[in-house]
Amino acid sequence: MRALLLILFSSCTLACSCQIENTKNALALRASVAKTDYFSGFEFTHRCSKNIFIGQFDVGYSRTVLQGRFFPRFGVGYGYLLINRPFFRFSPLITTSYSSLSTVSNSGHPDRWSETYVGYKLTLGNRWSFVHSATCGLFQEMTYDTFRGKYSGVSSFGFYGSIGVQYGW
Amino acid sequence: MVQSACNMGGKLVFLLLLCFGCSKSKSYETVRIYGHAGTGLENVASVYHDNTLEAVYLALSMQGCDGVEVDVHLSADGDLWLYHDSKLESETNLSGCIPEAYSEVLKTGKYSTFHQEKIARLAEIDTNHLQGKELVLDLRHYNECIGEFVNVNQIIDRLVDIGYSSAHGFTVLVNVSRNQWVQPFIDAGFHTVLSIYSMSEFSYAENIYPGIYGYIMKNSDVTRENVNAIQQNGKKLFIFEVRSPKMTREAFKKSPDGILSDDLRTAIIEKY
Repeated sequence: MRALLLILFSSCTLACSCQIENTKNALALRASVAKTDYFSGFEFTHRCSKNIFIGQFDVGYSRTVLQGRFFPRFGVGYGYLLINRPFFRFSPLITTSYSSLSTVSNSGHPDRWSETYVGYKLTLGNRWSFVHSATCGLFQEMTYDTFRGKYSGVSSFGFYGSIGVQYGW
Repeated sequence: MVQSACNMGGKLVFLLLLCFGCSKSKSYETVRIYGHAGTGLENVASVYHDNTLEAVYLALSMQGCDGVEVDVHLSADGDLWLYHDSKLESETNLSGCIPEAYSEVLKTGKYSTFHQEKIARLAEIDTNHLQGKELVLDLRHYNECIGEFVNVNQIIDRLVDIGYSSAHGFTVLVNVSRNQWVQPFIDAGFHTVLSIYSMSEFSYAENIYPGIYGYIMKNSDVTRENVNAIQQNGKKLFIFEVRSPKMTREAFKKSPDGILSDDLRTAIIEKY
């Protein structure tokens, strides 16, 4: 959680300080697969020189749509524009995200996940583009332990891959 | 144009949430939920390997989970070990079959996973975690390495040794797949459940083993009417191979006594 706040703060600070330079924004609509569910949602990116600041919001498809249980996932990230060619951009990136799901409605003890991943993002196109990203890394699950009466966490390996369509301005 | 696209997208998400997000699931209060092999067999979302102590405790700690099912093999020296496959090399740093291996060797066995969980003995399960819950033991009857059946009396003796024939605070269900094993377990006082694949097998078993506790069937092999017929005979029916939200809902609608879920969270969400 601390890492999430630190990255969020750093992202905002850097993003704001770059506003006066050559800024480029983009909004992507995307579908993705993660360890916990299939997701769909939006990704906003703000580019400042070669630095890319990312904000994400997704909802878990199986839980939210098929099971009627809202499953949100919020993420922020940072990427570095390593290759910038016409119609093709490649950026290594680091992301961190948080998601939460109540398996028993109104229990007050939702399961929580935080994920810190590294990977890459590909962009094919110009104003309208196809985007793909793949990341993997540390996956932490926090579940409420009814035996001990408190949350307990366990780390594991996790992944996140997405494809989508992006509009830039 | 972008703004109108955003508006459209927002409306679409809102409508989806409105349509599906508020739908209440049917009440399935009488259906008990068991974690298949812990938190689910071959479940990509599971943080622990199936049939490990970690997976069993995690499942039992979840609100809404009524018990767990584990796969049990008899080792060469007569102890009982949790493991799913026939061959050890498929999942661990060991090789061969458990009925051929001794406990001294099995104690060194670890799964080839992120956490490298060790192969667990049945007796290692802390029964404090089982209080108020049910433990389903899927007893493996065949030694694939030498092509012979396992000695049923050795398994019964070991279960009695570790106190599972008179468990306090939790219930042990013994699941067997070999008809010849049913009566010895009934005679030893266990709640005995037989795996069957058709209703003709049910009719046959009912005639031969009237003291049987219940049956386990695959989700795709059983209908609501079959469940009714079994329950009307005073027997329990448990359903396995339940994974996706669709399969889970189908299984619940058949109103069995329990489902062995391969995705425990999906089953708990569906019920609660």
